[in-house]
Amino acid sequence: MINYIIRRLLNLIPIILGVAMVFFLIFNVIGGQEKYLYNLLPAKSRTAEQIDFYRSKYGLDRPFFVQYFDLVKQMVTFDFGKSETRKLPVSTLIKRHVPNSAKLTFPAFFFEIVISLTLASLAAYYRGSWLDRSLTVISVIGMSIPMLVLIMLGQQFLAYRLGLFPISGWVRGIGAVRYLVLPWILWCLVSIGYDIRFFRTTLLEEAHKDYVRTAKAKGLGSRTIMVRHILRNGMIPILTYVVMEIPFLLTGALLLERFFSIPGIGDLMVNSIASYDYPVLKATILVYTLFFVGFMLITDILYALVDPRVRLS
Amino acid sequence: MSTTIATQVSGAGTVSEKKPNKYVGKSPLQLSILRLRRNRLAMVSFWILMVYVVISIAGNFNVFGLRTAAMEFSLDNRYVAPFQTWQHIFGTDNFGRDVFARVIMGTRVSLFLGAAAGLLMVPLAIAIGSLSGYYGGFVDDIMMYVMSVVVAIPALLIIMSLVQIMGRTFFIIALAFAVTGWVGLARVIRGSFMQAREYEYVLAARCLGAGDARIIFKHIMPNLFHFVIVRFVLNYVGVIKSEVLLAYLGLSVIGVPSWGNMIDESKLELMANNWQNMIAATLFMFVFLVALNIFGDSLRDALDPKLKNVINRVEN
Repeated sequence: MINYIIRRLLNLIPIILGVAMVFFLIFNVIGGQEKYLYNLLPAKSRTAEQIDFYRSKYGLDRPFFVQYFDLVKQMVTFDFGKSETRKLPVSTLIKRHVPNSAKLTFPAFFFEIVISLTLASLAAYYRGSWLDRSLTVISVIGMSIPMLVLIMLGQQFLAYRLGLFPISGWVRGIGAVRYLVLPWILWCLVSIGYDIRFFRTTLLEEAHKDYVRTAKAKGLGSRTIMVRHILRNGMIPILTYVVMEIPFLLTGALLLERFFSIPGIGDLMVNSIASYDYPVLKATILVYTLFFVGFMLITDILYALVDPRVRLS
Repeated sequence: MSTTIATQVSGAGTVSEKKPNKYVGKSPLQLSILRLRRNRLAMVSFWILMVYVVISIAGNFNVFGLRTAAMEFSLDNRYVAPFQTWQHIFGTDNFGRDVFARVIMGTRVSLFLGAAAGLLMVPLAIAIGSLSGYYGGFVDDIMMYVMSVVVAIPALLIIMSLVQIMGRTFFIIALAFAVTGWVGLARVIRGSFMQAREYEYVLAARCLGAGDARIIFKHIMPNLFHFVIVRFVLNYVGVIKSEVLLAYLGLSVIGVPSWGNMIDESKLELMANNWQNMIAATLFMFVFLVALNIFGDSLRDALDPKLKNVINRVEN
């Protein structure tokens, strides 16, 4: 088992190098860095010396080969220098914003998975009933309305018109929960459509397998079969799906953070796009990527714990 | 064969005794189309989609002066309420532009964007998936590495950075979607190629002297085509929904109305009870996406070659 984990961790090294290559292509070859630099200097008053100064400061005058390794070094040490627009080291900014994002993301993610899994297993258990049919309609509606509209309507009605929740805001510490309740609810509304649909299909597929017939033949009750057999075996595809969903959830978090002014990493990122602040942009993308890769690693290890065949391959 | 003979005979003047079976002598594609046409829900969504296609093509020309109405400011007519005059059936927006005309023009942008992204994505995915699945070994290792790197970075972030750096033009946005969207399809194609290359029909083709290109494109690829179409539809849905997000970030196509741009503009109008922009764009998008989802599902069922025998058994 430890062997397997070590092997998986070593696999991360080429992935990180590849991610650095993508960053390099986008920011150094296509020209993000140059654009950043020109944006720092007002077009009317910039001189050739100033441009040269910044070019050498950001290493843009060096060969591509060296620039790439600079980038790798930045990514490994997580030292992206200083944000020119915010006048703070990038790592400080990231450190300040990540916990707020986590406060939004993890509880919402947890609630949403629990709710949709419960509803999906009910729909699969009572297949064809009014509950099943209305859940299908709800999930189709949820899938066909863009997230932005749902968030805007939610904020408009629940917070602004009805005054059930604060419209937006943020405080430090535990008091922030007051501002987080509505984003959590909206998060659940946004992603519940996809999840119910997928979980229901997976569970129904499981329900048609041979071992279910065997269990039924043994005389087990249908509720026992659902809980002890189908749900358990369905967990593997469900786990994969949940992990693959995380990048999409991140974009949802980004919108929610903007609308409810939660000072999280998505908020930081949108600001850095608007102000051409590429060091911060690079760092935020890296944070998202690491988060995602880390989750993939954890699921792989969980698989290996559950299913011994994975370890050997 | 039997059908052609029967028609020839009946054409010559004799009455054929047996009603010809309409499933004999049809290619798999024709059978799929037959299956699809019997699914009423699928046909309804198909015609809805066709209406959208016509609308988006009409948006390219200045039909009924729609383009002018969508683009021209008239500050005397700001926020005309919907369903008041025939001239502005959905009302007007902040700059007095006709919302109905804008939503029609927006259809054009969203539909063409989805199509362009898909058409760029599919060849890329087919090339990479088939090469790595068919040849295996070293080629496969490199391709798998590229895929795992592209997957590791959330797609939207790559799209955002690319559009931000290269400019907010239609082509760049479509390209950015294609560059990030090919991995799913390529994986499916790779997996199927790895299975298919062991099958007898591939061996038979090789024994007859078929080259690699012929085996890949003429023998294996037609069997995977339903994956391509289904992925194309899914990708379409994804692109249209992501366009709204890009618009919110100020990164959608510049200077023309699109559904995303309209929804984004409406975020400040809601406070003053001006819902027309948002509701029009959301409604048009909602109908389109529901139709596309239903049609995509039925298409997947209809195109799956394994179902072919089932229908024959039922009909015979």
